[in-house]
Amino acid sequence: MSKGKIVQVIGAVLDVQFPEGTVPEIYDALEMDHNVGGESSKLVLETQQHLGEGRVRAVAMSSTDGLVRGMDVVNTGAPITVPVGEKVLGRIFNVTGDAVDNRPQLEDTDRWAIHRAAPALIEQDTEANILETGIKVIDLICPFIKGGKVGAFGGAGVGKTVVIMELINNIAKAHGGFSVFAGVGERSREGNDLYHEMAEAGVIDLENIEKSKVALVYGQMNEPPGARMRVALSGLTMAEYFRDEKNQDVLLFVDNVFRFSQAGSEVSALLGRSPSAVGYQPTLSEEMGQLQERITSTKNGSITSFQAVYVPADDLTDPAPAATFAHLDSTIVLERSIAELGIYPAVDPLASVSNALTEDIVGKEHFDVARGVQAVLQRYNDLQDLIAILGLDELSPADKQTVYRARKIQKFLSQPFHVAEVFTGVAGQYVSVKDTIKGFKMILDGELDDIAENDFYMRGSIDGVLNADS
Amino acid sequence: MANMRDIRRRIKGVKNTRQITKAMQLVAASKMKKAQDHAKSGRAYSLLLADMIDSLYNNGEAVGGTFFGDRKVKNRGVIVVGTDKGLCGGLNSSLFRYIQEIEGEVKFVSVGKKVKQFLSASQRNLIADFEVTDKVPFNEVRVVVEFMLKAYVEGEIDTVEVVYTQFVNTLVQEPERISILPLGDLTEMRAKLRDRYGDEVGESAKDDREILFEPNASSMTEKIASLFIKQQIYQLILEAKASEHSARMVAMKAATDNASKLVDDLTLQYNRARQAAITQEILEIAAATSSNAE
Repeated sequence: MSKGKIVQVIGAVLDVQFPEGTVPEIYDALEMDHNVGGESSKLVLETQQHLGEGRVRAVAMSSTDGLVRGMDVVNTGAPITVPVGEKVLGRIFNVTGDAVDNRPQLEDTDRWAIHRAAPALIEQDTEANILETGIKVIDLICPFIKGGKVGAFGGAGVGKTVVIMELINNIAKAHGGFSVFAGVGERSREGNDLYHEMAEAGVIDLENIEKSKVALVYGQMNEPPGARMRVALSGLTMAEYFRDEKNQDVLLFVDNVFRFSQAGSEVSALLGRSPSAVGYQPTLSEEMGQLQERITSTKNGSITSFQAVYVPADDLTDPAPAATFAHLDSTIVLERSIAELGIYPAVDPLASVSNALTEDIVGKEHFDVARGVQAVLQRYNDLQDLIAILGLDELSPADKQTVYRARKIQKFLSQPFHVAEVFTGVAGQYVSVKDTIKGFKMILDGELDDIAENDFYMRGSIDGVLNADS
Repeated sequence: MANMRDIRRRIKGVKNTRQITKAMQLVAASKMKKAQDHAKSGRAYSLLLADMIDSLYNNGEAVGGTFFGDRKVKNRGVIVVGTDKGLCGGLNSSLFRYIQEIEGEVKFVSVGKKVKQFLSASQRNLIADFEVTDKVPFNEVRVVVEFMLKAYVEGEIDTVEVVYTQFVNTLVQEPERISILPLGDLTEMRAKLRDRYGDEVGESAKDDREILFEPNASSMTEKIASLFIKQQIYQLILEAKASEHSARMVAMKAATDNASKLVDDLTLQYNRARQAAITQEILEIAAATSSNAE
């Protein structure tokens, strides 16, 4: 194991001088001990660049406070590894695989490097089965595929995390297999909340930790960029182990993939790369590809992933969310203007898409109803300007009917969530795909033209509308 | 941030709409002026005719006739005067709401395409439909009235009523029902007419000279009664037209204002998007330059 010395510290990026001939390889982890405020702590670095003459540039995985030039750095000779296997279940880890839940560290488990190759093309699974989520708008417009990748896009405060939490609630809790949650650059409080919710729901078994079903990996917004750009990989590695070694169907939740790109851009300039479009790193799509290509389903097992994607300034054409789009099977777009109408989940039914929404996969009825709903809403959208100028009275009777139905559909797309019960005081509702399609079909067919618009708001299935008090 | 090209396209679209509503507003304004003058100038004639028929009947041998006397009302005959075209605000909808409240055995005759559409869509008993052009020529109205009179005489309908939109002023028009047939107490009717048409028309001189009829009283009174009825309905249609044009003018003015507001909003959005893009580009160039300079 070679030793080097720090020669330069710029924020989260360090230059380390090694003796010529003993430089660490790219992505090798470096370790060092140092004191912060009298407490000894271990700092892990990841080698990023060779600068020549024995110098390497590395990114720190935790705070670089208190570092001084000349400190010793040890080359571990291997990339960062995280523990894998059943022992990780019920535990919380950081990016370097250390348990951070005040329970003993894992000693005798397998450890896998967080950098791995994506499964080869021929190993990938091509079957498409629908995964029911119990959320009306998602099941109808952008149905999920088992083993597929799903992204929830949205600007600040439109409810991405709530959607992901509801998915965890509806799918992960009912799911028999294992799940991995990677918290990337979001609030630590949310991570804490999730842990306790999981414990309450029994997905994490505090008494009998081996019986838990979920592992949590956090690198939240208080951590330096190094941790945030690698923690998704740490979580993914744990999921990959279950897929490849145990042939399991695994759920992987990532909140929030944008932070992964953001962290990359934070260190990019420090690593000496010139910024590219909108100030992002020039390697944006490569980094995203490295991560996303590994999240896939093979013939042995599957990873179904749910990713929240923050959309800066509500601009979906921003390079970071744009780079994410291409990798996903289903895209849920959360729209601020819909959230402003008080409709939650604020999913935009016209912008959200899914590869699974074809007649072959979902069946003709589902397909027709989904497209019908979109057609009505699209027409309503087109008429908006006309209504704003001339008023509703001037529309032709057919258009008026479209508008009324569109408003009902819009209202009916809202749904009380289990995870939002504490905020809304309304009990959460799980709606089966069958009920969802039945409800929207009835609206489209005009069977519910006599029912007041407000009766459609925040209901579960169509029976809830028919049994409304008013 | 919405796509700049999309915003530009929408601005263009809204501007085009505004141009049309603006033009329609101006057209409606000039038509309104004409229709109002037309309606006002007809009032004097209506009143005079009412005076004449009143004095006729109160004065001599002319009594009775087809149009007088109560009959048992089985079928009401209602002329509904609406518009041919839309884009006139709430005029037609408030008229239709008014019609919806009319119950019982009613046979409708429509004047205006919109009325016809509404009556047939709401499955009322529509026995005939007519259209009257903007200039309201008397011969177009005469057809309507003669149809009604024929139906009345033949006993198909037992009343003739007109539902139209009364012109109160440019901003206010109210749907109203006027009963035409059977003719009741003429003096009372005359007073009502005078009440409605206001004092713009001076009181005609009281005339109680003896009247001589040629060839005889009954043929004369029949004719003059029918003329009076035609004139009355004609006058109501004139009023309805005045209402239509003012309602359209007001509606188009509101539409033009709304469109202008929309254009302003969109322009603001567009400018914001444009400036954001410029700032972004400057930022990128500056960042790239400074990182290369190191």
